[in-house]
Amino acid sequence: MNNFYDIFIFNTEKPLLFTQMYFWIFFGIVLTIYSIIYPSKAARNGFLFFASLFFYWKTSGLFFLLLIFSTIAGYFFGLGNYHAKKKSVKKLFLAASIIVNLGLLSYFKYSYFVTETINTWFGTHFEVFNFLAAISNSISGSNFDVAVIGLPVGISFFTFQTISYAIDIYREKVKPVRNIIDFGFYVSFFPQLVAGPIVRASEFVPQLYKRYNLSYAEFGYALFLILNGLVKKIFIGDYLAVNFIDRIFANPLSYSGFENISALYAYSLQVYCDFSGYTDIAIGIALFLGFRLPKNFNSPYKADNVGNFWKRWHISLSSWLKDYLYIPLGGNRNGQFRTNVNLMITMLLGGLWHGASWEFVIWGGINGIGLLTYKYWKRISPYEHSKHWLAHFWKVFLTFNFITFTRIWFRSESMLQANQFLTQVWKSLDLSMASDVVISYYKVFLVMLLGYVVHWLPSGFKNTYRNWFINTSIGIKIIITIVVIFIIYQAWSSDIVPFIYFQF
Amino acid sequence: MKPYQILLFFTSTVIVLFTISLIFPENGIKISEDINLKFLSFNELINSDKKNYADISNIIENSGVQKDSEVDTLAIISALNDLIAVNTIKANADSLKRITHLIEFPAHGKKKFYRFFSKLENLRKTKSTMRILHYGDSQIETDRMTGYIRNSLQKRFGGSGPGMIPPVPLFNGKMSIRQENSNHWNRYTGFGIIDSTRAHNRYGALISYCSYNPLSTEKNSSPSLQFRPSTIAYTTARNFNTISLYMAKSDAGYLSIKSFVNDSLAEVKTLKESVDYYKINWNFNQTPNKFSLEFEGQSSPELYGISFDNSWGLAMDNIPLRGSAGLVFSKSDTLLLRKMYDDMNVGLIILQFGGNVVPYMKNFKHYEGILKRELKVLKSVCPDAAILVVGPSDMSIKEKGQYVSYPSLEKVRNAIRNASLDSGCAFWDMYEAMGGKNSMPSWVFADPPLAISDFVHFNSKGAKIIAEMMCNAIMYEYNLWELEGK
Repeated sequence: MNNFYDIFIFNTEKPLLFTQMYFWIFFGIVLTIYSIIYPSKAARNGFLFFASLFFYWKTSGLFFLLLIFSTIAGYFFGLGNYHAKKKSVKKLFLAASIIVNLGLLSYFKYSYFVTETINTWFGTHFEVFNFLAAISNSISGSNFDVAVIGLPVGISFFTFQTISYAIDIYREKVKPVRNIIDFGFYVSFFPQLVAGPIVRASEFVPQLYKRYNLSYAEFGYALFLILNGLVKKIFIGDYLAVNFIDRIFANPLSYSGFENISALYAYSLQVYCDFSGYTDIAIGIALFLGFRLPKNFNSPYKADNVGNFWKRWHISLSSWLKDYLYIPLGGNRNGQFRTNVNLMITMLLGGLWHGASWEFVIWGGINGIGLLTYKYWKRISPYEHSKHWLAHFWKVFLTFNFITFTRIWFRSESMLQANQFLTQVWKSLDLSMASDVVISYYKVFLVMLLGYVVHWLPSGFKNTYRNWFINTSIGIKIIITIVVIFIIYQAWSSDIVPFIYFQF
Repeated sequence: MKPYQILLFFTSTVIVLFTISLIFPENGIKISEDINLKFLSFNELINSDKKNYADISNIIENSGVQKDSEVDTLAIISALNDLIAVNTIKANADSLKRITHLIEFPAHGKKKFYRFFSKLENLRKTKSTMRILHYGDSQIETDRMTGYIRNSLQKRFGGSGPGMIPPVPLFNGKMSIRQENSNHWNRYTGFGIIDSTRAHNRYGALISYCSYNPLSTEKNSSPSLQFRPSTIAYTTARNFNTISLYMAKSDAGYLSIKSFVNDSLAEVKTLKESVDYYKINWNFNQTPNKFSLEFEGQSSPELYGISFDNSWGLAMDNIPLRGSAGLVFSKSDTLLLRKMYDDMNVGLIILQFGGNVVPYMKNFKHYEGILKRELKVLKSVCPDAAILVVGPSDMSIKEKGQYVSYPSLEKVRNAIRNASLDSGCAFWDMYEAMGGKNSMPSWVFADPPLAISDFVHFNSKGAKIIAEMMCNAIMYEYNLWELEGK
C-alpha cells in the first residue's frame, strides 16, 4: 500500500530525472493514456498540462504552486497586454509580467547571492529571511523554515519562457493562448521544464492547435536523440564526473597541475554531455508526444570563434538573451562603445543566469571579453578568411581551449577553488608524471577520448549513421535500444575508479 | 506513427529488457579480468529504489560548522561543559553520546591523557609550549581536518600558528600557510615511493626531508624557501612569532643560511661542522608578512621541518602521509625521531590511518600485529605523549549501482582498535562516528555534499564536521578530567 502512496508523494530522493527509472515508468503511463486521448486536442493539452504539473510536483514538491502562480499571472498579464488599447497600458502589463517573473527568479535564486555580496562589501551580517514561508506559516499554520529559501527546479527556464511570451505579445509577434490550460501546458511542458530548451511562444503555441503528426523518420530521429542523450549523460558525463573530475575539483591542492588540467578538459566534455544530453532527451520525448522543440546544441566545440561557439551552445538561451536583453539594451544601434557595453552586460547577466555566484559572472565576463577580442582581431587576422584546413584547425583549437579555460570559473564552487586550480597549474604542473596519470586512469582517458572524437566527427559522417538508424526497421531499433541500454548500464554500475597517487 | 505504435515499441523494449533481467546471471558474465558484464536482476529491478544508506541527519543537525565560516566550536564545547556542569555525567551519558562519539580507552589507559590535559590546562598559566602531532593519510591532506581542531584548541588553550610543515611540500602544501621554494630542492619521503638511492632513513618527525645538490646550484641562484601567512587560514594560524628550522648537515662543508624578513636581511647563520640534528630559532615581535631563507655553501643540509608557532601555547602539526598505512615509524631512524620529539615537547600524537589498507588487506591479524609493532616503536621514542589512534572512515564500493561499505572495513577497523587498546593507546572510531555501515554515500549525497565522489575522502565541509566531532570527543574527555580526573 505504501508503494501506491509513494507514487503520489514528493520524495527528494526520487526526482523524475530522465536518467532515473522512475521517469521512464512515469513516461510509460503518460504514453499509455496519451495513446487513447491524443485525437482530442483539448484533452491532449489538458492531460499533458496535468502530467507536467504532476512531474513538477514529483521533482520539486510544493514549488509546483509557484509554477501555477507564474502560469496564472503570465496568462492574465498576456491577455491584458493584448487587449489593451493604449501603448502605456500595454507597457504596464508587460512590466507587470517581467517584474513578477524576474521577482520570483531573484527571490528564489539570487537572495543568498545578494545577501552574501552585501555582507562581504559592507561588512554587514544580514541573513536571508523567507518572508513567503513566514506568511504561509502565519496564515495556514504550516511549518516552513523561514531561514531557508529553496531553489525551485527549472525556475530559470519557465520564468524566461513566460517573459518571452509577454514580450512577444507586446511586440505583436504572437497572439495570446486561447485558454489558461493551454498556456499552462506551454509553460510547464515536462520534457523541457527542468533544463530547457527555452521554448518561444511563437514556436510552440501554434503546435497546441495542430493534430498529432509524427512520421516514421521523426520517430527514428526522436529515438536516436534519446539514446544519444542517455549515452552522453550517463556513459560519458556521469562517468567522468564521478571517477575523475569531482574528486580533483573538490581539492585541487592535492593533485598536480597536470591532473587539474586533465580534469578541466574532462569537465569541458562532461558539461557538454550533461547539458546537451539532457536536452537531446527532452527534444526526443517531446517529439514522441508530437511536439517539436528547437535544437539547443550544434557541436559547439567545432566552433572556430567565440561568437560562433555561442551560436552553437545552448542556442535557445543565446537567442533569448539576444532578442530580449541585448537588442532592448540597444544592440549595435548606438555606436561602437555602446555596442560593446551592451554585449558585456548581456554576457555578465547571462553568466549570472547560469548560477548565483560571482564565479558565473566572471565566466560570463571572460566570454564577453573573448567575443570583443575576436570582434577586433578578425579585422586584422591574416587567416580570418583562409580556407586552408590548418587555419580552420587553429581557429577551432584556439576557441575550444579558450572556452575550456573559462570553465575553471564555471566549475569551481568558490573563488578559492578557482585560485587553487590556477596555482596548481601555474606552479605544480609536473608533466613528468603525465604518462603515469594517463595509464592509471586509462578508462577515464579512453572515455574522454571517445567523447571528443565523436564530437569532432564530420557532420556528414554523423548524418550518415543517424539516417541509417532512422531508416532501420522497428525490430532493429528495439535491438539497438536494448544494446545501448545494456552499455549504459555497464557505465552506471561500473566500479568506482580507485584513488591513485603519483607523488608523495 | 501514432502514439499507440510508440507505446507498442516502448512496451516491447521493456518486455525484452525484463526477460533479459530474468535470465541474466546474478554475478554477471566475466569477459576478462577487467571486464564483467552486468545487468539488473529481477530482484534488483523490484528493489531498485531501496537504498540502505545510513541516516546522518543527526550529525549534520548537531554540527556547529557554519557555511564557509570559522566555526565556533567553543560554543559546542561550552554547551558540553554546561551539560556536564549541571548534571551528573552518568545520568546524561546518553544525551552526551548523541552529541559526541566517545573515545575508547584501554583498561588503565587514561593516565597519559590526564598528563596531556594537565599540560594543556597549564599552557596559559605557565606560558609553556606543547605540540599535538596529527599523522594521517590523504584524508588529512592540506590541513583540512587538523586546521579545524588546531583553531578550536588554540582559541581555548592559547597558542597560534600553523605548526610544523615540510620546507618543501607536496605540490603547494596547505591552506594554513603559503610557501614557495626555488627549484633546487628534492623531497624525500619515508612513505609512498621511497628513493632507494638515499643511503639513510633519517626522515624526522614529518617522515620526509628535503635537500638539494650543492653542485647543481649556480652562482646567481641560491636554494631558497619563502613563507607567508595565509589569508585563507583560520585566524589563529595566521599569527606566529617563532619560527624554528629542524635540520641536519651530514658533512663538514661550509653552509650559510640567510634569513630575510619582508625581503630585508635579518640574520646570517653559518655552519662549518657536520651536525646530526640542529635547530635554529627566529623570534619576532609580530608576524612577518614574508619570511625567506637562502642557502649557500658546498654542503646541502637535510631539512626535516620548519615550524611557525607562538612563543607559548599549543601548536598542532598536520602530517599527511599520502597512501600510507601508518607503518612508518619502525622504518625511520628512531634516534632522530626521539631527539625531535623531545625538542618539540609532544603532548599528544594522533594517528589516523587505515584507509589505504581497506581495499587490499586480507590478513587482518597480521595487520594488527604490525600496527602493534609501530605503536611500540612510537611509544619508545615518545614515551610521555598520549596516543590517540583514529580508525578509517567508511569507504564504499559500487555493487550494481548501489554504494556499499567495503566488506573488509569493519575487520580493518577491529584490527586497528585491538592493536590500539592492546598497546595502551586510545581509539576513536571514525567509521561509527560518521554513521557506520553505508554512511559514506550519505556524506557524498548530502546537500551540500560532505564527501567527494571517490566515496573515500571528505571534502572541506565534511572534513570540518568530522574534525569537529573528533575535537568534541577529546574535549569531552578533558571536561571529564576537569571534573573527576584531576
